[in-house]
Amino acid sequence: MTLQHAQTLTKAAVLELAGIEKIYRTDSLETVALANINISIQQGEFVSIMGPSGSGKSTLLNVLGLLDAPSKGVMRLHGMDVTKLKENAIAQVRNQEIGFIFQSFHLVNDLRVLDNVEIPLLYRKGLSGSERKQLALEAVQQVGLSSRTKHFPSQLSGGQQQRVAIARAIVGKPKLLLADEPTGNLDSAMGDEIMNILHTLNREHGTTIAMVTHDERLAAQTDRTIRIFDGQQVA
Amino acid sequence: MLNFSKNFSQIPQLFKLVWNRKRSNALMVTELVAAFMVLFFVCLAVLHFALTYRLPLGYEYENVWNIQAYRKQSAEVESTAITRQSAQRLVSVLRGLPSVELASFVSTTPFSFSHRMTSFNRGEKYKTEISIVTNEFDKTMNLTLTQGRWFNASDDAYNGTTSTVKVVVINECAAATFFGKENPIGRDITYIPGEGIGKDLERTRYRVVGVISSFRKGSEFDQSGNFMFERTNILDTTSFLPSQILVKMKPGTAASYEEEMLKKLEQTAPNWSFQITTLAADREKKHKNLYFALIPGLTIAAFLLITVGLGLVGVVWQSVTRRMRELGVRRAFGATRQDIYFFVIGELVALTTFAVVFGLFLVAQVPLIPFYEVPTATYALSICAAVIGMYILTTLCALYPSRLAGTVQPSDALRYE
Repeated sequence: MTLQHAQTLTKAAVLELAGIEKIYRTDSLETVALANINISIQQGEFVSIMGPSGSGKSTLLNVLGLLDAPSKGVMRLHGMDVTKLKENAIAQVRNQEIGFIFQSFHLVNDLRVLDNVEIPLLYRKGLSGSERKQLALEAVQQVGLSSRTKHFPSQLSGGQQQRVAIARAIVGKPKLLLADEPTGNLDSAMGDEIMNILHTLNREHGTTIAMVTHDERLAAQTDRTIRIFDGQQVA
Repeated sequence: MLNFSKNFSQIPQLFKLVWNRKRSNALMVTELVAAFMVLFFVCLAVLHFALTYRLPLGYEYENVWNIQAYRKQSAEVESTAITRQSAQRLVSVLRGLPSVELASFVSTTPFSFSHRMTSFNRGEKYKTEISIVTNEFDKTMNLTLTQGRWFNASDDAYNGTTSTVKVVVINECAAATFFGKENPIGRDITYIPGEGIGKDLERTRYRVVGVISSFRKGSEFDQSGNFMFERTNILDTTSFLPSQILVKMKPGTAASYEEEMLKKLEQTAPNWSFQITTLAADREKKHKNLYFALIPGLTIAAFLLITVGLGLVGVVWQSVTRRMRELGVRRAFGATRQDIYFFVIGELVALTTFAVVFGLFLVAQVPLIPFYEVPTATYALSICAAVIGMYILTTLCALYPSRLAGTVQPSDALRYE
């Protein structure tokens, strides 16, 4: 099944998880990180994922972002069962459909802002260098950092670095944005700035967002909260 | 399978990364430059010897025996005339042997370790190796005459120390050195007496009567240099008497025939000592001598390259480990395993490019080294081989670390501390 074909199947649900389990196994130990997770995230939704430390939030986000394969269950992205995809196809789906924002930004310190933002486009077929640059400039503009394109991450504040990370996440125009505690390393003012950008992306561009957070105040700003406890979905 | 159009889009960023990390990469680039220089000199030596080996020697050494003939120190003193007669008898006896085709006296034989270099003047001072031979030398060694003639009896007029003109046959290399494209036949070159002694001596003129194609006396591994044959008549007591006789044997002559030949020679000249070898054996000895010098050099070079290679593997491995999160980010944003292989290998290749550019600048200075005599084609080929070799070496060194980087799951890479 091609990606285009899959996209026509279910318009409303961007992501559907049914009976997802994630078990980490060693020789002597079996750790259940996620058990029987059933989630459906609709197109244009802004969902927060909450839970105490070690509850499995980040594992869930990794599974949602196809960074980690579930041990059991079915996961559909735009109706396509992505658990059956081969590794390179999964990489292609990640590249075209999903954007990631990390708590500690994960910018490449030796690359300037524009080069950092360009990274996802390097792995997309058929784009010329000038097209990549144009898209990267648009993304940087969207997060309000047009004047910082030639700066290195170390020359930016934490909030600006996270904005660069958001620009990198949205440069490929993904349908789904996954954010792992995007304000976790920022003070409240900067955190609010980041939340504003995420809300703008969600409202004005229709980007679906799933955000892991510890902050009830931020969770309250989202459409819906999924709560995880000991790897189980409790709400 | 690698998707090259997608992989190549990483290249500009690879160069940016290498440039932006220039401080941390400086040590690795230095190591790569050192490896490039070692590789270049190894290629230069190997190619020089390989290409020189393929050139014609200018003579045939098979079935040629080399007899060292000298008067015993214990022998009674005899007149020069008697010595010359003994020498003449020896040649006559040798020629009379059923297994012998030809015999000729010669001052320095092919593949010998001794040589006589003399400076000659023709506008400028040129060093030329010289060997004194009798008339039959050309046929004994099967030389190829390209211009003029070989020595004959008519050259007796130029024999001896009293003559201020000597006749010589030179090789094409010497002809080009002394006369360029002009016809050398009948032209003279002048002997330059050594500094101090002989400075006031009248300069002897050497008249060229013939040109042979080539004569690489040293071995197949020696380049063709200027070479000159001077004629001697062993019966002329004022002429030089060489101490070696080259004997062209009939094909298929057994080595055991050496004993019979030795017996004949000792019967002919009891006051003389003889030592018989073959030119083939002399050649082998010369080659072994070269290998003895080359093998330790090549072993050290190989050891250096292996050390550099292992060092590179270690450095790339460390770099991959240190930058696991960056690789994780790339995987998260759609890089496949193959993209990561390409990225890690490509980064080292980009570093290699910087090192090669710097190395080429250093290599360009090599022809300025005194006594450097490698032909331009060999030099150019060595540069190409060293450049290709460097890229192969670095690609091989990056293979394992790139594989390590590619196999790490993106979620693990992002969690990596």
